[in-house]
Amino acid sequence: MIGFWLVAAALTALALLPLLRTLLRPSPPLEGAAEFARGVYAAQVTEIDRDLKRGILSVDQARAARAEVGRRLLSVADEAAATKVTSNGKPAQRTAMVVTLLLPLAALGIYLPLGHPNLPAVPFATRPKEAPVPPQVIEAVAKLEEALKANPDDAGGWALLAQSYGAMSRPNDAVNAWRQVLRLTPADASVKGALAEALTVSADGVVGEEAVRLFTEAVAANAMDARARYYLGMARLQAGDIRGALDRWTALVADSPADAPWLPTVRERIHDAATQVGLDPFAITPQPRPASAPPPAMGQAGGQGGAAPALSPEQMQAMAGMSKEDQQATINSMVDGLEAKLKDNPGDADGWMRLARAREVQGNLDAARAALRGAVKADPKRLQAWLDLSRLTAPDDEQTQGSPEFLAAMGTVLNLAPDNPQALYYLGQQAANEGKIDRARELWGRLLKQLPADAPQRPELQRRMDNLK
Amino acid sequence: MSAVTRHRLLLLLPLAVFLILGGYFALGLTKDPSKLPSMLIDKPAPTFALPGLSEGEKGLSNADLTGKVQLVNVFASWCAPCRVEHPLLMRLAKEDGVTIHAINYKDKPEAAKAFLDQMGNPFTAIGADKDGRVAIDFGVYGVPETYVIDRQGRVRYRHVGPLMPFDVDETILPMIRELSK
Repeated sequence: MIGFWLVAAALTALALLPLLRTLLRPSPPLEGAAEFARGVYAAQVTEIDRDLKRGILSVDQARAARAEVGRRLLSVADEAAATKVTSNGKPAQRTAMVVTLLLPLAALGIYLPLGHPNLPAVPFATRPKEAPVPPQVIEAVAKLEEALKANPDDAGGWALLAQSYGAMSRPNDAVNAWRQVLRLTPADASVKGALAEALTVSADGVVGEEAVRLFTEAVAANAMDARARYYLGMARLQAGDIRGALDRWTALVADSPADAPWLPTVRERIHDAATQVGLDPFAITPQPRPASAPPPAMGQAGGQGGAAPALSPEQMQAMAGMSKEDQQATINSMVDGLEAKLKDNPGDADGWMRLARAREVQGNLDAARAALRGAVKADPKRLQAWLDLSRLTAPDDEQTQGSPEFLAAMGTVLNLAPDNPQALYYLGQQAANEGKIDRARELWGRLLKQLPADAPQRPELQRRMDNLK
Repeated sequence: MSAVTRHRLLLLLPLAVFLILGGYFALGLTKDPSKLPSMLIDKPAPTFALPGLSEGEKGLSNADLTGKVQLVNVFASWCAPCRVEHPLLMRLAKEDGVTIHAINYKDKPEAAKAFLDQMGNPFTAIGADKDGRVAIDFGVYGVPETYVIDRQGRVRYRHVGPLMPFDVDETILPMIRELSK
């Protein structure tokens, strides 16, 4: 960036240089020129006299010629006088100063509204830097080719050759080599994926019909073939079916462990595709499965699972002998009893929490929400109640702006727990939607600060903050 | 006019040239370069009869262009943008049920076949235009180009360059639907 401004300044200076040189140069000695002209005209007058004496000119002609020379002489004198006024010794210093100041300012004035110094370069083709292939590798590949001519049924040899071709940027040769591998091991789904990928590379990244078929077969054999699923999403994108691509990619994210190496790429693609169709990439990208290392606890506001109302040991024992239906009926009657009791004693926050868990376990989310409303009424400072309420009123993935109740619950959560990531995120989103840029930036900034440096949500959040305008 | 003023006017010449050129370019910028006029718009497609990619294979003639709203796609295996638009043609043919005829432009038949084997074949029939004569009659500037042909075999729309998803969704498909009514 600084480099750009330096170059721009240097170029401006370069452009100014000839202007200043001309302006600051002392004006040419016009005085002398006028003198010279006078000399010339004086010579002409003597010549006229001579011609008159010789009889070449008549008296009238000589008079007219003299008058003409005199007229020219006068005009030269006038011109000399005029230039004397404008260029009195020190020439145009003021003009030079004005130009020096105004030209860069004007350039800046035009550039700032029109230019985009931050625009990334758009090269015609971003070519990967081709590392020169070391001669040992070329030799090894040649040997391998020879060996395979003698023994064309060596699947391992062909696979090695195919990989070498791929690394050497010889995609067409890689395709042929992978075809050989597939011929020898027709059931190997990963080989199908490799061949399909080589086909895609050889087609400049376009996933053609044959590649689609092979990738589909690879996924059929191994549902977690991330490469194949990624490219199948790409195929939909290239066919103009952006939503189809998004469906495939978001499903891939949801099925991937949080530390999967392909996640950043897939997220990037989701971001690009979602922006094209006006969807919110953050909202449609699901959380990946837990990684081998514990992921940041974002979007996990829930309580510690939901057990039904606590049972006494005797009740447990009694229930153990019942049939499934009877157990369920007993639990239902207990939950209904709890609810009735709370109607009489609505200040029992613990009771409301138990009821809410039970209702949630039963799958009756409306009742669970109602119970949580009772809980926060009974004890407005109970963080867990607010967290559960916000979890149960959270918007679906597709929609970013939550209901007023959800946002109010998040607001309370933020008051009680200023670092709650979910509250920071959603309230920031709300502020952004309402155009409160500073507030959004502040909330997301706080969220960003507590996300670990390698949190998968980071790039997307950063992008959103950059897009705040 | 004295010699001095003539000299001064000469100094203005570069500025005048710049202004004329600048005006010309500014005018050009307002025009969409992909919207090339076609002499053929709303006129019947030129008369032609092309052989197929190989002996005995059905080719393409202007008789094939009547009776049904369809696309004519000019493509070549050596043309990289053709590859880019190919998945879209596949989708149009297989998922949207659009009839697409192809003119294979200045291509080797075996290369064209390999291209279609790998990328899929969305074309109902292909005419091999080895010397590019028919393409000239169509006014093809460069591959790929796509024409929308109505039931009467008239050229209704011409797209120069690779099709993009929004071209298909916002122009080509609505037009085909409109013409098929």
